Amino acid sequence: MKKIRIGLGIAELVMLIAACLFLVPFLNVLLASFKPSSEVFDALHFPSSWEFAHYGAILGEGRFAQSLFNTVVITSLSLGLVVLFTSMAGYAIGRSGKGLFQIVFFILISGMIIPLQSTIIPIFKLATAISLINTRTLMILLYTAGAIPFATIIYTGFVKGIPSEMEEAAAMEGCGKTRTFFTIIFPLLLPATGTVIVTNVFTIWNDFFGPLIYLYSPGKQTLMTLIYQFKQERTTDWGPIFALSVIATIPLILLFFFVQDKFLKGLTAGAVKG
Amino acid sequence: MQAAKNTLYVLAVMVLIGNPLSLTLALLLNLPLRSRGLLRTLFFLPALMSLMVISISWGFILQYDGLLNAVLTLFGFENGIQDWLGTMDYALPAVILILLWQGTGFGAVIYLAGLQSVPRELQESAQIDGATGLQRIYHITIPLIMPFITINTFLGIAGSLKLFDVPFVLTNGGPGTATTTLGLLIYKYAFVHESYGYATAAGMLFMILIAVITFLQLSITRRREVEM
Repeated sequence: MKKIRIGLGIAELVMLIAACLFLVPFLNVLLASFKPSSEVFDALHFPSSWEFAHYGAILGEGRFAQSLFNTVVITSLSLGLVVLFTSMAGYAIGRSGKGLFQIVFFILISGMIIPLQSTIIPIFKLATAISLINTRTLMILLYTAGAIPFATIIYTGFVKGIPSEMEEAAAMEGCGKTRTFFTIIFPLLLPATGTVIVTNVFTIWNDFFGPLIYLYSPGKQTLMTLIYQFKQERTTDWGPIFALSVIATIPLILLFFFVQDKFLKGLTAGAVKG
Repeated sequence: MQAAKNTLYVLAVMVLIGNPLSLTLALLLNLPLRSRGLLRTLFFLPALMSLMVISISWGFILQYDGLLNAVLTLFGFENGIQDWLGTMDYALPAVILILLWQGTGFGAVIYLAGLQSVPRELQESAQIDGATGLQRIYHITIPLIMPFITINTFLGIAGSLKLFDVPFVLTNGGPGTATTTLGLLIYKYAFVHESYGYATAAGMLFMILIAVITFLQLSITRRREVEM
């Protein structure tokens, strides 16, 4: 037994070292973002003095505030719409999952298999035709549509696990379907809502392809496209790019620490069902 | 054609190397270690970062005056110094390395859930019957976590077929066409050459390719799933 314990101790040490090495790419950027401009490319050394100049440059940049705002607005409104639509859809499908609703369910989840690149041109043309191209509204609609299949699966599964006695009681007291849903069912779906939000927030926040194609004017940039633009503009001055990358990543990491159990559970539950 | 070849190459590596790598990491994380939760989180972090930020970070390591070459020089391997992303032979492997780095922790977390669903009694009775560690993994663990292998293979295939961000930001498909993927090719036809018809046609073919490959994969791995 003692032998095993020593073995485990060594394994643990090796794993911890491996994990630190694993994070080197990010730590490298984090360090570089605090280095004076002259030392940014001096990869092997710690900063001679810790500076916040690059962060200052980012915060003083008008485009940063604008794209942070865009990213937050697009992410939160998309999530709001996803939750609103798919919780109702999941309720309807979960409670009467036969006939028409079953067909609707299959149509909704078939959206999962169509790759993004196949639809760029059709969506681009459609969006141009209805004057939604280059609007944040378009991005919100696209993200909502993109998240619907998976979120519907989650809600449907969850609704099936809720006993229907409460709804029957509510119906007897004369409570309408809509009110039943919002006052009784929706609060009960809270864990599912949490799963839907945490599994989508990262995808939407991090998306680069969408804003690159559909949001081309400078005022509509998200953080990801702003990083890319910075990279195009500054070929030598990388400090601010790193600072911006760090700023765009930290909120996600913080969020992850708060929700990680829920996130990982939702991830695996969803993955296996899907 | 080069793009299709590159994409299939990425796909093969991701499935044949990335998948076992995730499983190995999951098996290690499943050991009764004290810092298990912390380790899991640390290895998972890359999956949270956007491909944009990842490309920036790795570009900074792999470029000529980057960290990798600095470390090589430090240890006296000056001959090994390369412009990793600017050389035909190394650009695509570099992109794949980045994808492996990002995907391994994610895959491991999914496998970990699978491993934890394998009943302890089965492992113990096999151990009493004299099965070695590797035998237990091969004959008990792997058949039982087949659904998780299915999903991870599926995610690996879907991810590599759709690959766009990393080569777009790091190499823009170059040098030459060394890192051009199908996703990047379609984007270039649509928005650089503005030949919409061609891009749409390529998109349709792409969709069929994805459908065929995932169908094949699902029918192969699903067949090997066992009931408890």
